[in-house]
Amino acid sequence: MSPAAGANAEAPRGIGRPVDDSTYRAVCEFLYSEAELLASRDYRRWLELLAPDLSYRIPLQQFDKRGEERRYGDDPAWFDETRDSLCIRVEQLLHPQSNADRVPSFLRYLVTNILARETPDGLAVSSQVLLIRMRANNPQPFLLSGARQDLLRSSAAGLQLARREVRLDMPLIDSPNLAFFL
Amino acid sequence: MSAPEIVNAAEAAALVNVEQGLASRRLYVDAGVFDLELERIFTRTWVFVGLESEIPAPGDYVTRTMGVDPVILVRDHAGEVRVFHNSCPHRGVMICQADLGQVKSFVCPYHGWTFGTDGRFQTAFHPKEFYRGAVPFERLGLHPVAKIATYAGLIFATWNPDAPPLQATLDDTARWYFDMFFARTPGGMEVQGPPQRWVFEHNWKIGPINFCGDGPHAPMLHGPISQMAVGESAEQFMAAIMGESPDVILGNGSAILLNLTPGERLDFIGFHPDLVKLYRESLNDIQYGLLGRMMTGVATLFPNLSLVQAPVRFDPDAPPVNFLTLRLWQPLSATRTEVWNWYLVEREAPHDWKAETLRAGLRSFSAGGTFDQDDAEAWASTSRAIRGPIGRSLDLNFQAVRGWRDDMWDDFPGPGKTCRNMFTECTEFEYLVEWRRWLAAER
Repeated sequence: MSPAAGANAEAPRGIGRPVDDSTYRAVCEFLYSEAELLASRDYRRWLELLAPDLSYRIPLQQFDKRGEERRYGDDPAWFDETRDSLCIRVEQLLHPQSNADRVPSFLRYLVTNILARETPDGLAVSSQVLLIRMRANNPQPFLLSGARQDLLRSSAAGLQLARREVRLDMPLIDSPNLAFFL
Repeated sequence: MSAPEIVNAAEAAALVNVEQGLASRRLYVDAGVFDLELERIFTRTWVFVGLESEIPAPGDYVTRTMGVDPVILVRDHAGEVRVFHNSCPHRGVMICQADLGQVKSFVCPYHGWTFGTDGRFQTAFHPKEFYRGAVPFERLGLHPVAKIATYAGLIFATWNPDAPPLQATLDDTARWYFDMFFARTPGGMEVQGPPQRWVFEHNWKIGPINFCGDGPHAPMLHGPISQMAVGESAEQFMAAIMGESPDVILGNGSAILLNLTPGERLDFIGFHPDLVKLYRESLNDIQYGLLGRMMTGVATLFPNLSLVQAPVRFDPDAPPVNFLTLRLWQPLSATRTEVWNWYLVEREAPHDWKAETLRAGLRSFSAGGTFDQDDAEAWASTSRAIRGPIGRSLDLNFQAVRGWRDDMWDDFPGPGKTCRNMFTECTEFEYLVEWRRWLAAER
């Protein structure tokens, strides 16, 4: 179980050193462009941003042993994915006969509070995300918010996402499915 | 909003036409029917409340609901499993807010009434004398359920003091099949972490009915993901084997679907070879043979507990991996259901295999699961499709039963009434026939 309570991903405090302006700018460009790809369900191009050894997790909130504090646990998770398993998820969501998001939702991603630090493994980046999902036949928005903790690495193709953990604020999901990515 | 219609037992019984294989769509949207279900079913049947492996030590508790009544499932300090209404006998304040915890005693936050893990009143914040002997504290413990019973580490409770023993509901026939999932190794199954919880926007019965034996929806609704996670020609393969795979009526509204590979060969697809050796020790020859040919096992224990086991593959370089999920369909309202989803694994399983099987389950049967996502959309749409006066006046169609119910698979090697294939709809309709018995107060 993760030591830090609360829904805010640990800012990459204490580790690495602040990045220079051009790197910060590149990190913001990466996250905002990624948000565009996710919002437009352009998932095949999104996959190109993912490192081959990606770890992608959305942990479950769990109570501690004494029932007094909520934390983010190890197992089970909402998502615990590799690049391969995300490829399968993408093919499912984009399949013309797929029913999971039939008459595709309108999705909006607001990404804020971006902090970046240089570490020996790459760029440790924290951000906060609000997803607004509008179904075709329901005027009520479905909201999901959380904190991301990412590891970005430089590659020949530019920055790549090597690790992501998204800590959701919601202890249970008030929606029949999670047919999208965060 | 108009007040919910009051539905009486006779009206409820008339909603299922046993002869014709039809049921009113009011079963899925009607608030009056829902209220009657809470009373007639959830205060009287055995209801699943949790697993022994969730509360291993004295003082461990988890909070659950039976119908919409909140309960505390606790292992008391004598080691006994107990279930209490999660509400102080003084003024009704909820005692435990957390999903789980470990306590010496339960303290109500309002006036400090304190109860042992055995439910007995211990003390209050103010001295007892202030109550001048007028309050019968010795009788004001936490309100307990009438009976508790366990099977293979699964804990059930009922509010009904006259309920027949659990073994009468989960009888020899049901246990014969459930043992293939819950008692297939000497050590049995353990739970993998707390349950996932999410909310479906449809009636609580749709899931259990589907899990009673709706094989045919899979190649259609899950066609694309089946190709990707099971194999290229999965749809055709699934449709073909469904023609020769049984749905079994277990009685009491429960049922199981066994998708079996053809022929005699025991491939044990998606099982760990070390565990297969242990299955040999714990199961009889027929159970072992069925498990060896099992592609998918899906079952419902009336009223709201289901299981799914299936081999899936999300790593193109690795063989398929079986997962086992236990699912509780908690009623919230006529058109809202909270799903509780646990993953189980053999205690004896190698550490890495436990992680593999958990991931296989997360990726296929969960809120983010690739199979569940398809189901969720189809099921949620029923609430919107049939909530109006016209929708409610129409029927749900199970008429396939009329073509099959007198033609059972008599020489199937397992017990129970076995349907010849997965297209008969008999197991699903049997659930509704049982539902009718409970609502009509025949149970």
